[in-house]
Amino acid sequence: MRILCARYSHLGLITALRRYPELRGEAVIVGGAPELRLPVIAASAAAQTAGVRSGQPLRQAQQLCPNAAFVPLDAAAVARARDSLCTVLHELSPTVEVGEEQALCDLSGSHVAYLDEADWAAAAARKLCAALDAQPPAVGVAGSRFVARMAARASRPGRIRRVPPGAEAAFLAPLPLDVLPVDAAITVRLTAFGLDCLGAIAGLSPADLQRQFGPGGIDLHRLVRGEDPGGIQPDPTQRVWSERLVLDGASGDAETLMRAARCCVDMLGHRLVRDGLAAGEVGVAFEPEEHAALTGSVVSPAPLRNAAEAWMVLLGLLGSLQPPGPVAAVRVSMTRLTPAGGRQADLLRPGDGAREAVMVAAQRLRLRFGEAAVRRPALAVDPGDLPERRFVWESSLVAAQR
Amino acid sequence: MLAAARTGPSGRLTLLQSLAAVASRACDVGYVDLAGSMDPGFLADLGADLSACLVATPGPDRWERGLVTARALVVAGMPWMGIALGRERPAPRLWEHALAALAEALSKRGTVCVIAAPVPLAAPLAHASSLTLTCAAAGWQRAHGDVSGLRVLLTAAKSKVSAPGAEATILLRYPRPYSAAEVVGLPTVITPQLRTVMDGDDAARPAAHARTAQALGAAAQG
Repeated sequence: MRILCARYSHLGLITALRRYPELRGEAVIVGGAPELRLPVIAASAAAQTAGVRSGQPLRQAQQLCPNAAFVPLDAAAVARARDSLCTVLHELSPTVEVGEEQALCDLSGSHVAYLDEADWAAAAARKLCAALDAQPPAVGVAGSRFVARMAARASRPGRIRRVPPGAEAAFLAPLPLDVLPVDAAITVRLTAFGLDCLGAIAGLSPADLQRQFGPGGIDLHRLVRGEDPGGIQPDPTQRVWSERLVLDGASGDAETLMRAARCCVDMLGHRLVRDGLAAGEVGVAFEPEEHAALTGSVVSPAPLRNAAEAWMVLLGLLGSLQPPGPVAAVRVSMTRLTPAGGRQADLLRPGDGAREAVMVAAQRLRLRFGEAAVRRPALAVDPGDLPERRFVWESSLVAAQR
Repeated sequence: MLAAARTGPSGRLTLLQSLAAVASRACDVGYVDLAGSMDPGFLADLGADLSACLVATPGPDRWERGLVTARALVVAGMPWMGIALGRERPAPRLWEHALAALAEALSKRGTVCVIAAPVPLAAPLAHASSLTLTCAAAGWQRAHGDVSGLRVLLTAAKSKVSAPGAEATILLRYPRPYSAAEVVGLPTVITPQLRTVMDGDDAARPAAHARTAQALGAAAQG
């Protein structure tokens, strides 16, 4: 397995600087007003230079950096930024995990559009940089999650640090103990034993570590040798599944492409049934040899819970896509994954839940046909003389629920 | 129920909105406006609870999208659906499959759906309807020298539950602009005397009228 890890500034700070561009270069602390008894969520480089760190109380941060600008966290903007990063990375990889300060994606195998892993990783870094609209991320690529994170930590903004397969232990060996994601008491004990770097721990036998630290000792041994099993943990709410089938030879035959797409849909449908999920949107991409990928997606009128339902929706989409040339690979993706089961019904009220279901259906229609597809009217508070000013269209369907 | 109209003003859209307004006070209402005539302010004047109304405006010639929208809402559980069709009628091959899917969903869910369409009715619409009422303007209703409403002659052109041919004249009262707390409500049946009935039996006429009035009330109440 090959994992790419990109480290960037906290998304709260990036969205705050997008909102207040005049604060670029200044000391900015995200978290709210200093009078609030809340922790610092993120701090700009200038504020960090003054000693401000994430997790500190805002009042302490104000004492350390009195000239800093304190801005609140815009949770909605952060969520939008995460979604956009997710979308960008899913164009390159089927498994993606996006956090506040780092993003991970799976670079296992090969990609038809890129010659090798370095090219692929560079494309991911470029796309992330464009999506963030901020300082370029520091990128690391390695065979496990922990090593990829350490590689990104060792890299610099705009650079990619690749750890070749088999060189993980050698890469980790000189790193200090404080990089280990373990309890501080364990680090203190290791230091007391005279161990000052990860290479020293890797030289111990797993049995010795197991005797000292219990079952966690074996995990620690695997960690320092770059063999940690922790892969990428995609957020269920952002999860996008995709299956990609590389054809034996490039083909423009419609029936061949449909069979390839059907094969991908069957695999995705099996995963939906296995995990009890339903997809709200299904997309397909034809990847020609020489042209840019031809993509399309459709929002389903109803959640897709198995391969048969997804195939019926995808068929209509396939008919509208005409690949410009021979296609080398077909990729089918499913997004907007939600639990397939509905909420618990109230047995004493017939029709209970119908309003929720109608709202969900209306939201899906808006996703499919646009915001104006289904709207709820409301009388204007201050109507004018013109008939069209007597009412307004409410922007949100959910907020208007009775 | 399908309310159709001859060319010219007939009151079919006002009738549809009146029914939607009455229904909105009891349940959620979906309204697909393909005629471009929807005015939520007028709907509120008719007494509608706008917080119970969802309005879709796909565009005058997008019948397929409108019918797909209606079906999605019906399948989700919308209990009352109104669809206003305009005079610009696309080719039936573009929307009859969506109408068939909507009819099937309506049948499964037991939803009330009222469609207002101009005549001549397209064959798929005429086939899918369970009750077709033909609307024709019978004159203005005046009060103090001012127009206060429209009298509409309704004829049952098709009925799956009884013989067609029943007629009734109803009064669609127009709401007065800027009048506070005036609820116009359900149209009033104003013709006790009857015209032609198919079997010519005088004793059957009041019953036919009553059936038409009951059908109107049932459609409004869902």
